[in-house]
Amino acid sequence: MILDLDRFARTGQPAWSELEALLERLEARADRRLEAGEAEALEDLYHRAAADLNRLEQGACAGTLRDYLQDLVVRAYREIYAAPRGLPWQGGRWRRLPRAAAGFGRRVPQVFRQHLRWFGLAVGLTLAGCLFGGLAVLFDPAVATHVLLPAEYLRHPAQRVAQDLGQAKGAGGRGPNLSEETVFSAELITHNIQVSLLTLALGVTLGIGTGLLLFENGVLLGAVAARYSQQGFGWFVAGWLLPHGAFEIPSVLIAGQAGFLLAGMMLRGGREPRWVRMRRQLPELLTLLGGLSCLLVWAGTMEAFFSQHHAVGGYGAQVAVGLSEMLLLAAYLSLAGRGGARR
Amino acid sequence: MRRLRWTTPEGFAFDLPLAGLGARCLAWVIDGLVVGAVLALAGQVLSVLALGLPGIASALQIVLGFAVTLLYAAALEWFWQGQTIGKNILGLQVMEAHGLPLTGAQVLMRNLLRIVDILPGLYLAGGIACLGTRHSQRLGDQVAGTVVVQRRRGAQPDLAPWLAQKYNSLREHPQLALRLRHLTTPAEAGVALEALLRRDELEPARRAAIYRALVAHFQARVPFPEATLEALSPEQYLRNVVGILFPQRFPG
Repeated sequence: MILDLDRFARTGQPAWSELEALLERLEARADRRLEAGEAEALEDLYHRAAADLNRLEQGACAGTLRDYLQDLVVRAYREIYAAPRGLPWQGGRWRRLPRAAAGFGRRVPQVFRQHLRWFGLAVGLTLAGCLFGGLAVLFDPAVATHVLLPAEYLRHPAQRVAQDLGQAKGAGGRGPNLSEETVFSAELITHNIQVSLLTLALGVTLGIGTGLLLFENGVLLGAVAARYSQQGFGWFVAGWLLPHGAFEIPSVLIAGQAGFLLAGMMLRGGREPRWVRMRRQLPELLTLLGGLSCLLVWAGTMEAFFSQHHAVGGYGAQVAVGLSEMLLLAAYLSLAGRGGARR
Repeated sequence: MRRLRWTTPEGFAFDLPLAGLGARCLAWVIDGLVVGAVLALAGQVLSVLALGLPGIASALQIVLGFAVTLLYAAALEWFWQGQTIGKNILGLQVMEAHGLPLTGAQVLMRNLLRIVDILPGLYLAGGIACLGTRHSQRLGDQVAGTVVVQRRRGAQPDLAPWLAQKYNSLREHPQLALRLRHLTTPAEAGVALEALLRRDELEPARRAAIYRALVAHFQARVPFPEATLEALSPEQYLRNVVGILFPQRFPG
């Protein structure tokens, strides 16, 4: 069918121009809200323009006109179907922030429990890594410490302990420096969130990358624990690692859980098309990521301001703090959000 | 060029060109420059704070650098209808791959997954994924169910100059003109019309080559007498052909 473009354009042009003007008005509004009359007009004009576009698609036509109409129709479609977003500070949205934060606090453990088997897999792989790293250091310390432990302070616990004790007593070392620790804390938080994000994102490799990263992390943990314990510094390493590790290690495990969840979303069949399932479950991934990021902020703060200061209450106090944190976290993840759980 | 096709719940069909890898890279470079400028500006402001509280200023700089790099694109795409500054300049837009409204989770996820798309460097994984998928989706797009399309905000085509054509020498051969209309497919007619409408967008040498090719095509389809052709440039011949194919639009 060869369309009479001239007549077609003459007939459609007033409605197209009206739609274009309406869209320009709407797009200039930050809150994108429509008045009742505008909503009616938008729907009517959108239908007419879309029908015109379909007629053009079926005939020999000018691509320029088709592009013009398509652009109008896509913009109108978006205005009709996309919820008005607005900006966070508009319409008193900030007042709902505490309620939203409380809701998020309940939602994190709900999603965590909903996908507990993936957390179990993350724990299993990390423990396997720990076992491998620990046994390697115990049975072949000369080679294993060199290969598995990437830094001098990890290979030579005595030096590290002496340095810490020196700093604590002010003998040849520096005492706590609030400014440096603040910077250190920021570095730790951003670095750990980046690592966790990578652990989650590697779920796109069908979970293989996530699994490898968790195993590697476990190997390092196991090797450090074995090396320090082997040389009689087990109490030191517990006091050093537990206060921040109580939140940091579970965060990495939750990142692994999210990575495996992502892999499962990509792989799993079912009645629902894959893209529908993924669209529905994306918020769950982000909830886990948001939750673990909060944990990492606390872990980074503890590592910079508390874990390094063995003199504050001794190793015993540090271990006690670490164990209390672990208990609190376990209670939060297993109990919070019950009753209002939604799937 | 790859295209995105989908049908709305009302049955309207859309067909949009997908953004090429080059345009996306360029948009990324522009966005990188914007992020760099924002961070440089923030660094200047924080340097004042550093005079009194150097630790806090450095920590803020680290956190700000991390947050801006990670969330710049997500925030802009969410509040600016799928566009960042780089995408806006190049006419690109992020859209839901099935025509549904873009959600915040999708925007955030496609941007957070840049961390794997960028591996092992220079967006190699993302680039390969783009080339290997039907809708040019990097890994983040595949997970989030998004695509990047090329937006063409065209204006209504102005055909007034063509209406001024008063004489069409091909009409002197009514039987051949009728045969031309009969044998020409809608797609061929559309290409000829498009070639004329986009006349000023084409470089002169390329335009001449395109017009010559179209003339050869139509002449092979329905040969008009040589004497008629001698007096016509390829462009004039093409105008006359279009005048025959779209008689109401181009009265000869």
